[in-house]
Amino acid sequence: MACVLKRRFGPQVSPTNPNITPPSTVSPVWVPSDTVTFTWPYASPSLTLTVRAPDLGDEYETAVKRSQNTSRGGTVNYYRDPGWPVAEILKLGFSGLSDSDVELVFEFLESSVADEVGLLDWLGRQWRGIILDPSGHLVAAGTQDDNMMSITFRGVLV
Amino acid sequence: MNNSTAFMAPHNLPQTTIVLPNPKLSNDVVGVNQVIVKPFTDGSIKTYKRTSNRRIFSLSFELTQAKDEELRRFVRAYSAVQWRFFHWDQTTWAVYLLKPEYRSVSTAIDEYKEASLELEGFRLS
Repeated sequence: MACVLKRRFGPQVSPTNPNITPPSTVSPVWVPSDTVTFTWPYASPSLTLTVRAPDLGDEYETAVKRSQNTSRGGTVNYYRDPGWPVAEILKLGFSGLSDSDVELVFEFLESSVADEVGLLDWLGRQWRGIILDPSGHLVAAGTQDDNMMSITFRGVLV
Repeated sequence: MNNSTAFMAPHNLPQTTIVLPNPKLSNDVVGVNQVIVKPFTDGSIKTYKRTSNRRIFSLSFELTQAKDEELRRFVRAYSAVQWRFFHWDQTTWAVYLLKPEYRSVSTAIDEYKEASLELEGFRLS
């Protein structure tokens, strides 16, 4: 039993505290894919960029805004309002991009800079957000059709 | 010795419990005691201390994708309240999340994530 609890999604929630909204107990559904798709603009896409799924080592950060107060006696108190922002940041690294992909990447980044874009990720999750590093840092790893790129994306799950 | 680690929050009125595998080796725990040494002109030295029963835990977990999502939702919901931490050595602690960020990185084993937590608190039992 313990083994299952350590591997499967299963938060145990009891409705005892009405002051805090508990995390959702609905198990996430993922549809793995070999590609990720960026679309711009988010609302009515006119430009699409599809590249292979990111390399292992991708990072997913959730940063919650809260305030902290330390009393003279040394007691630490934290405060948070449910309306305060939560930053969801994805750091993705792509490799094995062809030379033609590179041109498409630059075209997409130049068009979408500072605009809201859509991201359909490799788990089938649809995101809405902005690309934080639109400079398009591409590295040629090999002589031909072997380019690497990294993207930092901040958004929310739709 | 337990073969799992659990968190319950909020500590004072528990609402949600999650069970995780034990953290990886090289997790560490430190105290938060402080000492200040002040030399005086007469050649003496005075020491001031600030003692505390609190500890800081740095834990690193290797989680399935589902468990990673479960812990992320838990952190999102309870980042500003005290947690109850059921340690694998069968002790129980009341802790706060030290940094309100939760970051996970996919590992070389596909579908597994590596995530770290820093917790500070005191022992209950």
